[in-house]
Formats: sequence, C-alpha cells, structure tokens
Amino acid sequence: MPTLESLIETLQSWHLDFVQFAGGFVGGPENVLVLLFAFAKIGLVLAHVLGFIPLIVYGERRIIGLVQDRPGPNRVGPFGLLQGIVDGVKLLLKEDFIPAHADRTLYLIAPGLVLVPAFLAMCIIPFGPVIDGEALLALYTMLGLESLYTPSSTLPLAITNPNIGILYVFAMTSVAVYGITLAGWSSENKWSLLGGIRASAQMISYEISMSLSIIGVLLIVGSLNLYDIVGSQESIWHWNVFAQPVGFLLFLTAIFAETNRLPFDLAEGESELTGGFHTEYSSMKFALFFMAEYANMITASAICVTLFLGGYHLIPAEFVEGIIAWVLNFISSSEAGIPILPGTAALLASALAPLGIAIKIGALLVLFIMTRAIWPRMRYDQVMNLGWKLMLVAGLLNLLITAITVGVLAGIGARRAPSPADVGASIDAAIQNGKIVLFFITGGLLLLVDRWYARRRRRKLAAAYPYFGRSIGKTAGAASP
Amino acid sequence: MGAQFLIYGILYVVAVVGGLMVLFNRDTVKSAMSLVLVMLALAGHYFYMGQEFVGAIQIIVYAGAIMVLFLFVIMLLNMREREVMPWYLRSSRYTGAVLALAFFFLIAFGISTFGAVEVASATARPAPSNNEIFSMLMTKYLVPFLLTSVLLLVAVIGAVVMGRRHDPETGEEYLIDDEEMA
Repeated sequence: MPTLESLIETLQSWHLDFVQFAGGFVGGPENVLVLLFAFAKIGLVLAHVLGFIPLIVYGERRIIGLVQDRPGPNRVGPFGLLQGIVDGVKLLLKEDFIPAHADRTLYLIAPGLVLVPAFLAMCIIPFGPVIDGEALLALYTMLGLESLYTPSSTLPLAITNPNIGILYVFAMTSVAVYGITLAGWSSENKWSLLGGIRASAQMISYEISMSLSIIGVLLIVGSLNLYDIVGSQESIWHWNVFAQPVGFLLFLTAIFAETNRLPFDLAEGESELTGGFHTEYSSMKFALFFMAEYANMITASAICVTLFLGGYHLIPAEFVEGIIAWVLNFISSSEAGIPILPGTAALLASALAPLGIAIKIGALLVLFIMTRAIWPRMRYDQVMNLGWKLMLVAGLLNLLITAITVGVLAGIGARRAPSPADVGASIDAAIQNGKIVLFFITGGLLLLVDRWYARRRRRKLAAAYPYFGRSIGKTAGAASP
Repeated sequence: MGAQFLIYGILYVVAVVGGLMVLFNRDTVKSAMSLVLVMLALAGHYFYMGQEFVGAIQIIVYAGAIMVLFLFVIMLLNMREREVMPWYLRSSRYTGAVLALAFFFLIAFGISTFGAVEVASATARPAPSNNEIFSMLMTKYLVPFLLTSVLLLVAVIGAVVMGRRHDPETGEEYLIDDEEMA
C-alpha cells in the first residue's frame, strides 16, 4: 500500500515528465504549461456558463412568477430546481424537424452561428487578477512543476489577454448578427424573414451607440486592454459607472438591444411574428437559440461589469488575503507537519476573485429579468428612434464632454498635438500611395461607364418593346428578347 | 515551426476555399457568407502574425459591418437564386475581366516592388502597440485619415439624396420605393 505522500510524489514526477515530453512539440515546456492552463481556463469558463444557463432560466421563471404573484415552476425537484434539466430532456426528445422549403445548409449552421460568438467574447473577460511571483510559485510547487518557474512567468485569470481588449469584444458582437439573420432568411417563412431583418437592423443600429458609449471609459483609462480597465477600478469609488453615468446607461440600453431581450425583443415578437427568426426551429436547434440568448446575456453582463462596475474587484484583495493567511496560519500551527507555502494566501485570494465578478453578473442578470417582467415591448419605430435620434446623439455628446474633461485634466499640452510638419508629411504619404488610389479611381470610372452603358441598353430595349415596360431587366431570362 | 506551419496552412486553405465559394456559389446569400469566411480567415492570419489591431479591425469593419449590410440589402431585395445576373448586366463581364487583369498586375507589381521575402518577415517584426498606431493616425496619416471621414460624410449624404425623389408636379419629396430600386 503506497502512502499518500509517495502517491503524490509519483503523480508530480509524472506531471513533469509529461510536460517535458510534450514540450518537444511546441517549443519548450513553458509553452506546454501555457497551453494546459489555457485549456483548463476554457473548460472552466465553458462549464460555468453552460451550467448556469438552466439555473438562470429557472431563476427567470421564478422571479417573473414573483412579480406576477404566482409561484412559477416549483414541482420538479426541491423548489423546482430541476425544471431546467427536465426542459432540456424534453427538447432533446422532440422531433427534429426541418421544413422542406428551407435552405438546408444555412438553416443548419444558423443556430451555431448564434451561439459561438457569445462564447468567443467570453474569452477575454478577466475573471481574476494576474497570478505571478510567490503565488504562482506556490501553484507550480503544488503541481510539482517548480523547476519550470521563472520570475517573469505570469498566469492571468482570463482565457486570453490581447492588447486590443475591447476591440475584440466588438469584433465578436458584430459577427453575432449573422446567426439570427440567417436563421430568419433560411427558414423561407415571412415571419422568420421579418424577424431576421428586424434583428439585423436593430443590432447594427445599437452597435454604434454601444461603441460610442464606452469610448468615454477608454479615454479615462487610456487603454483598450481589459486588465488595465479593471485595474483602474480597484476601489468602489473608482468604478467607471460613477465617472461615466451616461455612458453606463447607454451601454446598458444597448446590450438589452444587442441581446434581443425585452423591451427590444422585436426579432421574436410572438404576438406579431409567431416567434420571429426561430419560428421554424424545433428540438435541440431551438434549444441552441434559447441557450444562445442566455449565453449572450451572461457575456453582455460580464462586459458591462468589466467596463463599468469594477470587474472582479468586490472586497479589497488585501483584506481577503489577510483572512486566508490567518486561517492558514491557524492550520499550520495547530497541526504540525502541514507546511504552508509562502504564496498560498495570495493564490487562494486570487482564486476567490471570480466570485466577485460572478456576483455582479448575477445582479445584472436579475436586472435583465426584472426588466422583462415590468416593461412592455417597444414599437419598431420607437426602437429605431431611440437608437438613432436619442442614444447616438447622447453618446456623441457624452464623448465630447468626456474628451474635453480628460484633455483639460491631463493638461492640453501633455499629449503631442499634430503639427504643420505632420500635415505635410501625411500629404507626402498620401501621394506615395497615389498609385493605388489611381488604380481604384480608374476602376471606379470603368464601372461607371459600364453602368451607364447598361442603363442605355435597357432604356433602348424598353422603348423598343413597350409591352414589357418597366419589367424589362427585372428577371433573368424571361424578359430577354 | 511545425505548429505555426499547421495553423497558417489551415487559415490559408480556409481563405482560398472561401474565396472560391464566393465565386462559384449561385446563391447570393451563400456567396456573401463565404466572403465573411474569407474575412475571418484573413483576420486569423493577422492575429497569428501578432498584428491584433489589424485583425480586429478586419473583423469589425469587413465581417461585422460591410458584409452585414450586403446581407441586409440582399434580404431586403429578396434576391433568390433565379435573380442573379440580369441580362442587361452581361456586358459587365468584359469590364470584370479587365478589372481582374488589372488587379492581378497590381498585386504582381506590389510583390515585385516590395519583395515576397519582406512580406514573410513581417511575422518576425514586433507588432506596433495601439498607442503607436493611433499616434500615427494623428500625425503621419492625418490628412488621409481626415479625408476618409469627409468621404464617409459624402457617402452618407449621397445615400440620403439618392434615397429621396422630388416629385416635379406636387413638389413633394418622397422616399424611393423598391419598384424603382430593383
């Protein structure tokens, strides 16, 4: 019978062997660690988001039940908690129906296209601080990999941390339109098509307000990187929501519209469109749309928390670390033989940080749900007016005021303003690129001539065959003489 | 080297196959979606080269904005397969051929001027930081940057003007109807 210690030792040495073996393929054992941690983080985030979706659905139905003075689902399991699982099983067992007239390829890929961007945007949300120094050494030692530790190695508690940060989020949300649009288009059903067109128009409109509303935050922080943005909001008084209240409200409204939630759920609008873009979807494909809606809510809330509500900062890290250190000290002193590594308290404090962002996301989700319970759906022209005539203008004004304030506070001269020399240099650069511009101008002129020629032919033929009148040229072969 | 080669290979194949799908799909929507695929593959190239900013802009502008508008127009006009290539556009084939040839020579000219080797070594060059890119826009490329904004403004105004028609009899302005647009 091996003792526990010897078992752990064997496991640890096996770890090291594996890491060194795999390092041969990806250029060094450090890269293996990076990859392994990345996979672990991806798995954890995916599992948490997917695992919480049934709970959120349950919570939504219970909260709306509370608001409407009825119990909501309370029969399956304790307090009805297992309702989500039962619903999932029901959807799985339903007939998977594909309408005969649907465009099969697009019809089948649409649900995936809705779900994937939501998860991709989660990739850069910082769930906790960057672990480095003593804490990281403690983690490596626990894994038996302390020989790989270098003072420069870090482990950020986000799946990835690109410098472009928030731009990546926008890239993902802008791609999210396709799923809904294609679902509506490929169903070949007028309600679905209307839902799809409404969704794309609405999402394009509100994307502009969403981008404008956060530029204020970017100006204040001076970086696109989400770790820089979270790092600047360590104490509650530095949360961007206080510096940018207008930006926060605009962003909040925009994410309601982007996720197609009430009062902006015109893409579904069951009273007018019998369900909108997912009318023709059944079984698991419908479930994918359903999951995507909630995944999108979680992602949007996470971004909102990161930008405006202090990210993972909730209780000051030093305070948590102090308590943990005290507890650890108590354990190690009472039972001799359990050595505590120096960085363990900091490591555990970092590991608890995701709780902070989870609580805040939960609070925003409750806001999402309450809004659905108490707000009626807006009319389509009201949605467009709000987006283009109110939010866009408010966003621009907010940006202007923030830019002036930041400029004044930073001292106007602190940053280099463009000089006349720059203007001259940039004109030179433009002339250098003139060859390419010339190419495009020539191409454009050619196209114009071509268009003019086509129109002349069409007019001539329309005059020669008055019977066809305006219908000439509208369909491919039919009207062709 | 191995992993790098594999990732570039996958992205390259996706981009080329997507490009061919754009050309050979008769269905306008599928063609547009293939173009989105090409854009995403190109963005993948940029990301993998370390040029994150260019990659993100590639997705936001091309995949996220321009192609969505394409799709939107296709859906609004309700263009199904039978309606591609109206007969009066057939003469455009020759224009297209001329433009394609010209574009080929432009690319050839570009590669022969700057050299293929230098393009490959762009991977090794460290990506400029966001601050560097933005200050370049505000200094070295100020005039083209400002001209672009004027161009966009002109385009917006042009769209509004083209969308409105003036009725010579009543003097009323009205929005163009889809009968005329098609």
